[in-house]
Amino acid sequence: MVLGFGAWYVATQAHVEAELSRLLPEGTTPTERLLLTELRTGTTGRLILMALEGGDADLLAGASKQLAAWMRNSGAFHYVGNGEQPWTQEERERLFQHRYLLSPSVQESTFSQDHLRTSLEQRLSELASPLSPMVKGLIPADPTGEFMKILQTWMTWTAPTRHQGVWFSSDLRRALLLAETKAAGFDMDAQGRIQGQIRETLSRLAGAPTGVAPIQVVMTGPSVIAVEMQQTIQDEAWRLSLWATLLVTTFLFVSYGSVSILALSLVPLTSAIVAGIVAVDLVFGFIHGMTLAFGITLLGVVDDYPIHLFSHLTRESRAPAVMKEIWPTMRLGVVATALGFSALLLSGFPGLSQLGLFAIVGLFTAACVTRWVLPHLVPTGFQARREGLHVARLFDTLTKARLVVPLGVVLAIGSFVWSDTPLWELDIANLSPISTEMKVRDQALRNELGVPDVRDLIVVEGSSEEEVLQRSEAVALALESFMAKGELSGYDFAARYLPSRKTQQLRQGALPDRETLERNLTSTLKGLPFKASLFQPFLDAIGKAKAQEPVDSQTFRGTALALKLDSLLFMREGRWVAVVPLRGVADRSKFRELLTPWRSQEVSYLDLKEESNQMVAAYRNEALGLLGWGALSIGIVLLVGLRDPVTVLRVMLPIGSAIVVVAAVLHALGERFSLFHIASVLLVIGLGLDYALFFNRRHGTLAERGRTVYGLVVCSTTTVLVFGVLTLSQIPVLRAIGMTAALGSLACLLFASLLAEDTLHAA
Amino acid sequence: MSLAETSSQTERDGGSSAWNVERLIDNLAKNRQAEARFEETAFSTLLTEPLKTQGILRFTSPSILEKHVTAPQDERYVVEGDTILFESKASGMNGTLSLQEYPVLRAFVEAFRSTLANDVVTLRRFFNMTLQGEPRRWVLILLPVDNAMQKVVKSIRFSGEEARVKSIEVLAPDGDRTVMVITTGAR
Repeated sequence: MVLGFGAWYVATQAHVEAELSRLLPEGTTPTERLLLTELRTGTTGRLILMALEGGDADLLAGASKQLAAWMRNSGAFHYVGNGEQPWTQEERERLFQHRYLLSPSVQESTFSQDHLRTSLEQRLSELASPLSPMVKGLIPADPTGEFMKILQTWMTWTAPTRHQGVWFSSDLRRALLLAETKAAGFDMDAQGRIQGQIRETLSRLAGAPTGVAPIQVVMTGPSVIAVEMQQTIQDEAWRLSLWATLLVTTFLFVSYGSVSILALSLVPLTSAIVAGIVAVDLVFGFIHGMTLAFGITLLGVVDDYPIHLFSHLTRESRAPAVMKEIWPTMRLGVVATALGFSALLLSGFPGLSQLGLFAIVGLFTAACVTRWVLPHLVPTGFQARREGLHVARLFDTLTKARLVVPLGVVLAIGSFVWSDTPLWELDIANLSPISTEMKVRDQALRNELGVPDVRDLIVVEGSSEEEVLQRSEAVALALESFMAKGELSGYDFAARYLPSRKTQQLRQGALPDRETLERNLTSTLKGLPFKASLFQPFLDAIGKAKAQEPVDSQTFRGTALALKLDSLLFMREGRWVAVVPLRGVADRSKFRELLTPWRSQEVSYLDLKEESNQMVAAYRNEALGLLGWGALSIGIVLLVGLRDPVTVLRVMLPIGSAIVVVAAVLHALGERFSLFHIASVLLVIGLGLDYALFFNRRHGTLAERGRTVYGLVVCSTTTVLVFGVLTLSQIPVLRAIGMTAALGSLACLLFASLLAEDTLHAA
Repeated sequence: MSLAETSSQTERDGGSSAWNVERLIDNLAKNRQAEARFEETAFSTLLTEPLKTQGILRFTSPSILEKHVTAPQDERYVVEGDTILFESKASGMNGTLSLQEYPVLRAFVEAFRSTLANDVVTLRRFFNMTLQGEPRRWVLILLPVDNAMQKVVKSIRFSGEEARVKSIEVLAPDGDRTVMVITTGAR
């Protein structure tokens, strides 16, 4: 009934969280916090890049327009770009009004006779060109061409080719779109929903011409990849666990020859999972999907508990009595394993704490269910097969070869010392389950749309908006010089669109008074065929601009530009922050060096990839430390429980040796270790404790020992089967867990039997 | 040749007549040459005197049109499909524009390109056409249909003799006017 209630709670109340960032630590340095903010809410994470393909260019252009219109109306996007209308009429007018404050080329010399002359000659040649209908309206009020200069400066990227006004790949086979969702990039539920809607809308639109192949959409971007990744992991985990279940069920059926026993063996694991979910949800308010996945892995150890019980049953014995007999050994294993897992609980990382709580609650639940519930459900008269005796004898002969263990450990250590392969996986990219195909697709679309992956950025901080803008303008000067040296191919920053008040005031100061301007203009116009009073609007505009209120973020409210500004300039925890994304940093260490004179408390350079790699390393180190503390506390508990240091050593030694040897084997196979391996090592410790404790149990008879050994072989085989299947996975995470756990289980069993006390022979 | 005496004939009574818009454009296309020299004079309301340019027009089937200005400054404008590529050696400016984004330019481009490409269907989509004169000396007048185009182009007049265009005059509603005289080629 408790199980039923738990299942109900899980189904209706538990909040399974998919957002990865909820598992990340808060971050201690401001840079770390910024990185996390960027990950959680940043524009880069919210971009969706799309390509429509599978039709002729006209059809694709039509689909692009319809899809973009739907997306703009859906309210789910901050921005949808497909090449239509770079600026609306209203936006153009707003820019035009403020051209003398926004144009980077406004300075005193702009209005000198020489410069005016050059400008006017340029306007003349424009009037003679086929483009004259586009520009002639601007000439009387803007003869120096500031408006066009603003538009040019703001074009920080080369837009893709256009056909019928929408973006296309250069071969016109793919219509391109770019969108920024309102939902955060790591809000997988929302992102998945949005992507589904896009596909659905397109299939509805593309339904129009019959007999034509439907238009396909190719999507990429961090959120798309994340959603697909989750899907892949789920699919793969589902497929593999199906195989594993099938194999284990068959194996257990062959081992015990009873369907009801088979069903009963699942009870402790199921209750453990349910209890774990309920506990984590009650304490943390949500449970992360990753916690669930890893947690269930860790709980794999509890599947051994019912197997011990079943293996020790004989035709004469009654299950509750048998349970009572093996309980002390099992209890010690449970407590020690729980202690090992509790190290996770105490970590500062929300993800690891969740995992620890989940595993510990599950462990105790499974133990209690096995101890007090299961024995009453086992059909009387059930008996395990008799092969136990043969297996036991076989294992006893193994003890003669116990030298294998120290030899293996020495070899393992040797292989570590002499190996050139890096021990740890430091590149987060190699840990991700993103397929090569997905990476290639992402890169191709990014190139076509001209939106590179932002990896490098400069963060400028300050106590006010103005201070940050001024500071970033100073940094931009340095960046310009780096660009000239070829160290950088481009950058973007808020002050380009919203210059600091100081800069705007400087520009206002550079504007000439009416008298001077009129004089310069009159003498410039001599010999040029412009009509005399033509530039009256220009004189008025300069006069107005001198007295104009400076442009602020309010000026752009409600425009696409405002959205861009929001992502480049924002307030965080009372501090103003400007983000300067960099493009094409040639040499990162050299760039860091070049930037040294500009770096300070307020200006920092971030290599996002490096930062996230460091974060992963920090996570790993924390886990490694916890592993050490876990091992130590397990030793203490064993000492208390067994009251014999030699036996403690007998229990601990095979596990320690197994871990070292398994690590060496994996290393020799070219695996680099990551957090996932460490998590799996925790499982191996749990399993190993179980094996070693049972091997070192005092046995009365050969038959009893046979049953114990038989049980352990069954336990280990199920583990090897389950995790062996995982090693077939294409996903690095699953493979890492599978290899470590399968090899670990095998090695633990083998070493435990090799090092077991030769009780029977002694007796 | 009796119909030649008729001074004016609109496109609506084309059909079976021997001399009509279709016939003229077909003739022009057949006798079109790959290159033609031009001299263009732009009269602008902003200016006190006209601006003169000269250069070469090139047309490559089916629809690539190039205007290469050689004097006073070297500039090139190439229309291909939906885009206009422009580059100016003097000012170092270059780039591309989409005709979709600038419907204003579309009127000009289609008038030239469709006439040269014998594409009467496209011409009719953008213009009401009137043919005046006789085969020996004729004037083809194009009036834009679209409202947005009417704001920048009042009319485009092609004048010619036989299968040869002699001049193209574009008139804007604000009184601006360009006259392109084709001196050689396009016979």
